[in-house]
Amino acid sequence: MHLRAWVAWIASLLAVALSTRNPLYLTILLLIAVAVSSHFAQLRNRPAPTWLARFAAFVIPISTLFNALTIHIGDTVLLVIPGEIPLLSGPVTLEAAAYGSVNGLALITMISVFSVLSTATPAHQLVRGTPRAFQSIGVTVGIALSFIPQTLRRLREVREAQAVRGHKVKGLRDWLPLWLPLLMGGLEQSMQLSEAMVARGFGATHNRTAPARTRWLLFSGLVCVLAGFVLSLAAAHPAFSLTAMAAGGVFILLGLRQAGNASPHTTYRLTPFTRLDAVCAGISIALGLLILLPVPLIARDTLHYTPYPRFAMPSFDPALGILMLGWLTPLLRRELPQEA
Amino acid sequence: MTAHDFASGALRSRRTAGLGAGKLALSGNTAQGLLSAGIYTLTALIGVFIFLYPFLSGAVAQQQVDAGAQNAGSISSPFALALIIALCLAALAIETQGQVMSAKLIALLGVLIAINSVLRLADTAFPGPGGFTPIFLLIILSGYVFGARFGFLMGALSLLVSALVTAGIGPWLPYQMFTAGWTGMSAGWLRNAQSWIAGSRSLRAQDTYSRRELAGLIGFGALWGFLYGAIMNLWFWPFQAGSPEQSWQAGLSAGDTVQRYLVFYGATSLLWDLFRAAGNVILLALFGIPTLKALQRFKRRFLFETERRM
Repeated sequence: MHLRAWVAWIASLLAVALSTRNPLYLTILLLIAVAVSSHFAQLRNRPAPTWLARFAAFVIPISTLFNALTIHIGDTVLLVIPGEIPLLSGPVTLEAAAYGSVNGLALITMISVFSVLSTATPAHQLVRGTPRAFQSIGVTVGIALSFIPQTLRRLREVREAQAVRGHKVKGLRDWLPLWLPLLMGGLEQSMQLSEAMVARGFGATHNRTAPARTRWLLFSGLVCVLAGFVLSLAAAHPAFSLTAMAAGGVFILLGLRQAGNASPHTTYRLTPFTRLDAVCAGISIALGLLILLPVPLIARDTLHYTPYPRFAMPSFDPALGILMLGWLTPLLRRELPQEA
Repeated sequence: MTAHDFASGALRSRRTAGLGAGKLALSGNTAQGLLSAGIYTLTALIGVFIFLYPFLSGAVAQQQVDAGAQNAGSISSPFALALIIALCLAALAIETQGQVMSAKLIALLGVLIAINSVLRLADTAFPGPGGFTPIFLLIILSGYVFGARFGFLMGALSLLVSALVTAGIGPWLPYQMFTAGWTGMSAGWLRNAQSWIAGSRSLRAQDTYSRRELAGLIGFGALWGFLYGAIMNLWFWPFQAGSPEQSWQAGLSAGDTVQRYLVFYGATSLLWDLFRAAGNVILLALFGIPTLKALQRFKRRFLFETERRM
């Protein structure tokens, strides 16, 4: 899918995930993220991201335990930790345990939503999506990503070469004969790469420093943002600080736009924005707005859930649950699009 | 290239070899220099404000609650703050990339980031104890050798690239990039500070590194081991529900908020960060001098530039 479609999908899903603590809705969102992630991993002939399950198996129990042991609020007491142990002593309640597990679930859902981007989108597409203003940084990230497999290979070669000489890694100190050749090899490679880049005219036409106008825009934007912060701390009306912040944001975005226009950029392979991408982006944005804005027919209050003071099962609005299934639209993609 | 060009290039290289990578590209234009310094100072100030916002905003939040203005709009939501920090990071990146980047430095930065990403990949696959991570070794040492601006990019981009390969993208990423960038940037300042303390004999031009310098770097690594964790906690701490003794609460004074944060930090992060700090100390002690020598040796080659003639 096109990067822009993914941005719309992730942003809308995340906005809803962040605004609910209802474990039923969080579970639906988590399952959607896992389904989409697994589907695209299959399309790209990659293994499904099982590390998430391992991470969840660690995070949710830890979060539950930590909250149960340190928060002593709630009516349903499971046991009491006696004594005067700081933080721990006191009643361990079902409500605190439930709230801890909901927090863990929310964290896992958020990470799962972001992990879709890494699973479904090749790194080169992410780098290609770098705004033009960050051309040099985009090139650096591109070099780094393409050198990672080479660095891994070089590490293996160095390790084999040292093993042939009888070197064994027993402690941290024994890593030095591996570390130094790896570093020196990398530095030599970067020298060769830079010579190749210069020979091909890299940087010959591009003025390195951003134009003065761009820098003034960035400077003004930062001044406004800082003023917004100072105003908010001075307990001024929030509208003043928000206006200053917004103005700062606009100045910085204008500066970035100008910096982008100053960087000539040619794309050889275009990832097409297909009809399905448009449908997916449109549905995602519409779902986010429908769920978060005060639209009738949706029981928005079911998004809020707290197990305190007495544990109760979370309520569920079937209409809201069905609406959320709209985020499964990326599953309609049966094959990856060819780059033009 | 003529012999004269080569000679003048070599002369310039010799003249500037001792300078930090960022300073190499600085023009002599005072206004531009001031503008640049202004952008750096403002982003640093905003970054500090954002991270310290929980300590500064408590009393203000209470005043707004008292005035019934809490729903009138607030900048203190995790997303709003992440957006602001991302914008500042973008502004700083534009400024830094313009001043640091030549083909040689881009290639050098790319390869060093690749090495660091492999280290983080290894750390993810075979996690060390607690918060131990090897990535700070190169961030600190490259900032120390190549200067503050290079160090900032090294720190920020190391976290970005390694997040791409370890699926670590999330709202925490801009904060991680900012904090790791500060680590690299302050490593560049550490060298200037050590040079200033050493007096007239500048450390910048020398190829050898004393035990005193290494001791300074080890202390610096230990400090950042704790600081990184303490700073990174701040992005979520005000929004996390927890025990009243260790949670952020509107209406508290800065002193009380700091006290609560210290309790929270002690209960949840101190032990974790202790391993990171110990890891930095051990890695810098074992690999610091050889790595510095290797980087210094290549620095002269990387900073060699010829003047263009049209």
